[in-house]
Amino acid sequence: MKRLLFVDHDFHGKTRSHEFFLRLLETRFEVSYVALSPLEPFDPRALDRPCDVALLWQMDFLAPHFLARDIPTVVCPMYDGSAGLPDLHWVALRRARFVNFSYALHNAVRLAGAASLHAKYYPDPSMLPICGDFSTLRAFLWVRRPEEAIDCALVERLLGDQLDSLHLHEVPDNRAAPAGRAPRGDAPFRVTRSAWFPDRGDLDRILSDCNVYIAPRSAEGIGMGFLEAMARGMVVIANDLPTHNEYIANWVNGILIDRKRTGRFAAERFEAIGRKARLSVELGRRHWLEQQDAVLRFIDAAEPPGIAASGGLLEDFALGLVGAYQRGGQAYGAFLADNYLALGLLGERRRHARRDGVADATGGTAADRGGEAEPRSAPRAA
Amino acid sequence: MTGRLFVLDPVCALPYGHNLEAMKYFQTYFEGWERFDEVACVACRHLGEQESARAFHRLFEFYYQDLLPIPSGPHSEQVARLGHVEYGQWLDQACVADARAVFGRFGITAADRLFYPSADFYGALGLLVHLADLPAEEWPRVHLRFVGALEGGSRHYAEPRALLLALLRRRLGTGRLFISAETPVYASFLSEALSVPVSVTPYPLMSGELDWPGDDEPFTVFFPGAARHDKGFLRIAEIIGRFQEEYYEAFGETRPLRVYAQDLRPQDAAAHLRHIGQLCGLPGFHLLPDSLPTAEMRRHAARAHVFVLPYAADVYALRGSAVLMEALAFGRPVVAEGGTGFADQIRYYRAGSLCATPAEYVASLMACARTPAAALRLRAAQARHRFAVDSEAAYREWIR
Repeated sequence: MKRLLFVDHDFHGKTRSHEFFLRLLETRFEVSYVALSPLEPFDPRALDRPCDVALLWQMDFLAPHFLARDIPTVVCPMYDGSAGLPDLHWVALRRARFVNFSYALHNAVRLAGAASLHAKYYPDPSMLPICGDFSTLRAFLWVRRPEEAIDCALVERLLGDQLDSLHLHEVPDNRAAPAGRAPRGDAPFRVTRSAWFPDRGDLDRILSDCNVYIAPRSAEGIGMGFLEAMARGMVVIANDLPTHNEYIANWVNGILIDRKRTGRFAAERFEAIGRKARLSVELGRRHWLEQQDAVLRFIDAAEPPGIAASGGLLEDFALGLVGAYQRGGQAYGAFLADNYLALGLLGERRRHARRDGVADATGGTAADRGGEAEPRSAPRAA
Repeated sequence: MTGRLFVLDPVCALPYGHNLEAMKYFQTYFEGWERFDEVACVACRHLGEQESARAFHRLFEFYYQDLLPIPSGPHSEQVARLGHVEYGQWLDQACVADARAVFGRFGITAADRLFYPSADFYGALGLLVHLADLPAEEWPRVHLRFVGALEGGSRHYAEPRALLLALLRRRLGTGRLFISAETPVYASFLSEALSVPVSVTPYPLMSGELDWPGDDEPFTVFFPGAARHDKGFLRIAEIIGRFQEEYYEAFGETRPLRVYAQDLRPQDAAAHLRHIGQLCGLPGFHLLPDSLPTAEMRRHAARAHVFVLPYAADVYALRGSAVLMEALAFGRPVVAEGGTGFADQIRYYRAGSLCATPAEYVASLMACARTPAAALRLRAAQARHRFAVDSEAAYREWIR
């Protein structure tokens, strides 16, 4: 068996959203696991484990570390973490291959010239009870991101007195974030609250009593919470961004909103929408099980990028990239642009001789630049 | 045995798509006639080393980089830097040089036949210019099959197809040139343009029928072929969205619906991400990669109860559909756009239904869903049988 190093974001130690994939990989590879915080100073020695392939779960910015060492690298980026990254980020990772759970990211990666497989995960619906009773509407919201205004006030704006009850599970992802808007005393529905469950079963019991699920974040990487809600036959109301709008067809098997703008809507056909949500997961789960072998083969086929030894140049570049990434979007974008030549070494430059039929003044064509806007001035050396 | 037959396609430069499959089809088909001393394939020199094309000769330059760029970087640096006019001149010279190379390398004689399954502008131009240097009695028999793809494939002439037809008209009197078209309507067009009868030669059936899906399989609709705007990709959401509603209204959720469609290329998808995301969100909808190996295509085709081809009628006004040929071969009904070049074939062989609006597509799909599987299968088998007989007769007559 090939040895696979699974490099994870330490936040998943809480959410466990990586586990299904880890179990899948263990059927084909000898897996070793390491979780890092993207906020802590990066020590390359933490990744110094022998492996035949490195798989980065959401930690895409670490890919150059492995590519520079000529290690086959597979990246599973998440839309909620990587959607806003500049195109040059994907160019730097072009010699990795990607398993994308978001179609939007899958397309961005393909445009940058990397190999990508679009995978669509669904949980096992047979493990989850169906909420069949729509005589009243009973909503559930885990207030994970009060700073995104996904809170009781939003629910009241959307559904108002059509709702019989709302359960708020008030455990934000970032406890230092400002508290969300508190429920009004005269809210038109009954509000219950929780801040902690001794065990998962308590949460399941509350969810089983509900039939409307408010997706707690504006975007997702995969979206275990709302997918499980769909599997339960609940009506998921979610912000209109991936991956919500890649699993939910609006008003067919869920409802997409603009969390800032959408006003009150009539709660029509909720029972039918809930049934379609459950059906979507049943059919999707079937397809996911068929797709698993293709995913494993795709990962297994990852090859060394073929990068020649650079005397430490690329390793230093990879280290610098991580540091720039951790300093934030502007610093990261500037770093990528300033180190364009190194990106060209890391990301295979494909030559399309004549994509537009016109050679430019430099002798290359737009296709030679992989579609990227070329800096007008010569790039500074790394 | 009566000489050799060469299957030539300068456009065959990619390891996927219909050009490669077509060449293999025709090679196998003509070998089955047991009439020729040899049946050989000659493709573009930039076709990679695919196992399935191992025996192909690779000769032609790729003439369409400014129309259909191929990623394998076929051009020398010199060609890549030519201006528009110089590049056009290079193409004119290259296609003639390639035609001469075909004759030189293979020692083509009057006993041989050259068959172009998808006649392209520069392939035909080079050939006709070279033939003009030879006495007619030394010409091989040349069979140009028009499919409505690259006959006009040039940005260096104002009306390239008209030029090609003019050159053909001047040479048809030799009795060594034979023209066919993939569809009846295109054959009629060419016949009027060339003032000669033109045969209709769709693809011969080379695939066997596929087993029908089991009774416990979801009712499956397949939108096959590389998804492009002109193949109706952006119409799928409305058709399937409406079909789903009626389908589940009629059948409930005990008999689920499944839909397969191939993705757009990334550069085409970029402007439609939300649309595609919504398509992916429909229950039972599965987006397949834009490029699929043949075995994968067959696997999905085998699961389908019906193929849907919502092609743009204006783009496909004269053109045939290789996907229609596959549907016929596999034994599957089609629901397709009326007004396309292949609509006549669907109508004549009763291979399915023709539609113009989303409502008509939905009605046709509902009719398929309501028809017992055995009846769908029998009707498809009947269409297949009639098509196979006519197609075989057409080729035997055209390549006497």
